[in-house]
Amino acid sequence: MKMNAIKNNYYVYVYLDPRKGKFVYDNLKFDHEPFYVGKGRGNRIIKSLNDPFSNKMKKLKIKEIKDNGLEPITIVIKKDLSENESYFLEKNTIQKTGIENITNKSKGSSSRTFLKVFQNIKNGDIVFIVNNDSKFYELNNGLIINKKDFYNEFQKI
Amino acid sequence: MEKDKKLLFNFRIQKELYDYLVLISKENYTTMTQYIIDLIKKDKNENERNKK
Repeated sequence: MKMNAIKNNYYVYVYLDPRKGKFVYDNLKFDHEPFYVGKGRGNRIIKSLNDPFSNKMKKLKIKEIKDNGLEPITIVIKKDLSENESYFLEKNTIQKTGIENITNKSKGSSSRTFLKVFQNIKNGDIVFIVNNDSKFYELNNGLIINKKDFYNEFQKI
Repeated sequence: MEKDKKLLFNFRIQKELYDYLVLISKENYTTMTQYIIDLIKKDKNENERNKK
């Protein structure tokens, strides 16, 4: 039997405000004020800085830093993690830092919110599913009103 | 997930967007569909930019 290799390519990152000095939360020591904790892989650490779906507080903080001619400092606190390990560490880091001290809106659970686009192999129908933790919701709701239009657009992508 | 479905795209989204999509899917399916098409296009453009 062929075993699927589990890729440990996730990491947990923190954004720091360069305007403010050293901060210690529990056993976590930061050279500057931490204001956002996230997890991801690839270039997520950079992409998240300009994420249009970020919460307002995070976007405002980044804007304030940039308005002062500075850039947020990005640090990876641990890498080579499995996805589950990264969820756990992200949640743990948010707890230690205190959600009231950073701009994260949730204690790590929003990381499990996804939009998935499926194609039904048999009839080609496009199905949209969102899931939050273990809750799945089919957006189509049984009605594929603009399936043809969507499919035409979809082919151009 | 069901075996007869092929995963085409998978986006991590914020809880606020999750709530919005669930809501808009009930009220205006066309808006929701267009929103998702735009999201896919944006993601594709971003990936192409990163490749360059």
